[in-house]
Amino acid sequence: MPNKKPSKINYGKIAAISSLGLMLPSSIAVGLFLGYYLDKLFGTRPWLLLVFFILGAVSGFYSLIRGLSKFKDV
Amino acid sequence: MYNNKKGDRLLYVKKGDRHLKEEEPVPFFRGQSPFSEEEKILRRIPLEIIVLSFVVALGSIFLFNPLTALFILAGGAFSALSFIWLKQALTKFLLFGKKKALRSALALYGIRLVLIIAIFFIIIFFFSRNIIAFVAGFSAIVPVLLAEAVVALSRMKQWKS
Repeated sequence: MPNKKPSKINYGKIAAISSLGLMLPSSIAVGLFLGYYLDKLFGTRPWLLLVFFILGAVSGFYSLIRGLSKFKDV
Repeated sequence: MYNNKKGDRLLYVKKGDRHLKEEEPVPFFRGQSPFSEEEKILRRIPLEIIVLSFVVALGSIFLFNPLTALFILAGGAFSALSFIWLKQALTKFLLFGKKKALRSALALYGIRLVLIIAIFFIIIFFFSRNIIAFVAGFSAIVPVLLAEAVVALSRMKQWKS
């Protein structure tokens, strides 16, 4: 019976793209959820939501830049 | 004459052929081979994000309201679009030199960030109660990538044993 090996997939590349793809949405989501609940807690709608959203977006963008500069090594 | 069995079948096949030619699929990422396994996985992810957000939106019609469902779907579509942009930028980054590509990728992401901030600001100011729904759709990429990782790991285990 012939040994059927599946073609080798470059999982490293897929993992790198996936982790880069997760950076921005997850940071924005965490910032927004935090801002939303802090706004509810302190009754400051929508200012804390805005502040935490901007913090999340900037941190996500920053980690994306760092990830991109390392991407070539994958 | 269409009362002939053979003739009927021929007519059906011809119609089928013409129909297939009209609806020939266009490659999702232009200029790349659509046959490699990596490409297949990466092409599948945005579709899976949209499907997942659609399923969640469908459920939320019954649990919440249609507007919430619409925001979940919009968030999912935006997330899928973000992933496609990212994939295109990375392809450019790998094809050209590091310095030039990094600069163009940063410029692209600067514009993208401004667009994301603008869309979120509009939702925060005009539909602030639905922002969580939009973020839920926007985070649909997280379970999709986790599921893809689990599938990839299970495949690796199968290949080694």
